[in-house]
Amino acid sequence: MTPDSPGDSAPIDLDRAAHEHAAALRAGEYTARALAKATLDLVEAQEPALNAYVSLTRDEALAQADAADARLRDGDAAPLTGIPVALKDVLSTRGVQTTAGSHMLEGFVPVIDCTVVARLREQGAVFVGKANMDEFAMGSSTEHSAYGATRNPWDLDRVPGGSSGGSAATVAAGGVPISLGTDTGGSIRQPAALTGILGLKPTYGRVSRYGVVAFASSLEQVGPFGRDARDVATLLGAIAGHDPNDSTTAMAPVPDYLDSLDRGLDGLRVGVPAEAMSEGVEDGVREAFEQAVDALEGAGAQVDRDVALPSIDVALSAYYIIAPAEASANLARYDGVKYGYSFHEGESMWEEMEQTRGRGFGDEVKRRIMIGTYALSAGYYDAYYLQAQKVRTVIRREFDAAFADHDVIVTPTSPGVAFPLGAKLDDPLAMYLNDLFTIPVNIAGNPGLSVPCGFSEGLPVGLQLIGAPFAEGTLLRAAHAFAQVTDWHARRPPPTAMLRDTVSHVVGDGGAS
Amino acid sequence: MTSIVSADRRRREGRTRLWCDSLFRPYSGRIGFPLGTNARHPLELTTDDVRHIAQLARVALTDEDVERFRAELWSILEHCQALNEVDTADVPPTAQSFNLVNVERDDEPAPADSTDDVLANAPRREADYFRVRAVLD
Repeated sequence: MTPDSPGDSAPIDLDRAAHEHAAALRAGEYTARALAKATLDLVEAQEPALNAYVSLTRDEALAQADAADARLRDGDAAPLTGIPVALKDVLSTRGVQTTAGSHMLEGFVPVIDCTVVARLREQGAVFVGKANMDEFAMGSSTEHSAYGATRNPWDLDRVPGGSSGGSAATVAAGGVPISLGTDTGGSIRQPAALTGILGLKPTYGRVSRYGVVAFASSLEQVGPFGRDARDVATLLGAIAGHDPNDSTTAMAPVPDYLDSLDRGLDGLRVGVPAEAMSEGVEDGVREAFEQAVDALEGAGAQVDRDVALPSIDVALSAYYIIAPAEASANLARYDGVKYGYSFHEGESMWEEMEQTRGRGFGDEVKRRIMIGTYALSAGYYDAYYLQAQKVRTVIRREFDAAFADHDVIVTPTSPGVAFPLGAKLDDPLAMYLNDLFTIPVNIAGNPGLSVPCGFSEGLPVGLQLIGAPFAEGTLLRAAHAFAQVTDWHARRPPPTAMLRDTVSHVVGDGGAS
Repeated sequence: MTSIVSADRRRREGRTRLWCDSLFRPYSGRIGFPLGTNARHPLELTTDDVRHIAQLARVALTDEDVERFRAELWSILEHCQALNEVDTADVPPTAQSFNLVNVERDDEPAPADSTDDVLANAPRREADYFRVRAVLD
């Protein structure tokens, strides 16, 4: 279809799920090109307010959309053909700059696609751009980005959470229906909670990490964001599965996550750990959480409010040894020789390397490299690193025991709502406490899904559903059922509606840009 | 050129002092840790400790950085001492959630990346090589 055909000027309702766009594309209501163009116009109009992207890739997106239209015409469309997707800037994209939010990788253009991007490319998805993030995925606010902070569409003076804050903010603002993030200690679930959308961290080993800029290899997973459970299920199905290029991926076959979506909550055994109600949880978050648990019970779930997970509060300490230790090893590769920023004014090789790393990395990255270096150094290895690895075993055993007689464990996703920009920048430990409930899930390796479950102070609250290993289908089924008895997932931030109206009008008039 | 393997063997055999020995300076300092005690955790973190860690990690820091990082790193390490309150007697460590070990692939030839791809992002390139500063003083 040419750019001037009628399909390009009809106004498109962008406040739709990916599966609704997919149906409309198949029915010929509009073309993938028109959808891509409307999406890019909206996203570009939102950027001055949100800063959700490091790079926007309009030309590539329109070319992908044209290819998608050809597939749609040929009856060869996959579920995500023609669907606009945002990619966290930690995912390598062949020929498109991938910065990981760091000055260190400014201008770095990968020569490969990471596996998840390759799989979406095969489906014919349309990549709108590379989403902003905390540098090397280290952070809980997206303020630690070398490309400026991303803002929360619910309140532009607040953070969207992090580290996948750009991927979350652009979906919450209605820019794209779905996106990909990564989650090492809560980096998908916490921003999903703070922006009022769904975000899933798959079981460790469910999704390939090949071509993902590495932070903490034993903890991180790539996962989907969306505005409903069906979209999250579809996107997870598209990226999951064994990859010969990542030997930590599981051989277990990927189920059709859509099959079990409609099974409801009847008989689902839900556990609530006492720690979920601990003192650190804000009152408004606790109220929304308790109402969500009541709603699950009302819809047929069997709720046990006395699950024992006594060690989850020490998971944070284990994480802040293990993750930095792995980071200090993974980030040793940034030496200014093979790629990335390189300082050339030094007197010696060592000075140039130290200056390259001193100038190329931001403060949070340096903090974690140094914590990790310290924890692995002679004399401290046993007390910190080895002890953290043993505590990890203790936490895994507690999770295994809890899932012996429960299907889902629930907690608030984050102990608080979105906080003001700058509020926690000077206190790393306060920032880390955001991830109190999400970190134990990475430590154990289980899957976790955050779903919108209410509001506190006018800001979204997330409910975290934790499952047994490889039970993503159970989490999606529970999320889908929860959305039948509540309408939190359908709430939209008001400023976005105003932006969207303006842009829809321009598109309907024959197109801006 | 001296290969790494032969350098390694020479060092093992104690035959000679190698040019690269100075690159692997032995740990000579101590990190706020009273030697001779059985304390499992340090009692403090000094600015010298921070400088030493930064040197191990090859990260250049300014004097202001050092003081700020000392306080920040110590608050994190203090928090992490909670790890010692967990009874881990007879508990094996977990390196990876599902305890995978030594996943092997078939040893079959496959195409490798092209030289141009490998060098595509090189900050300094000379012909088909990465260019670096002289390693020897």
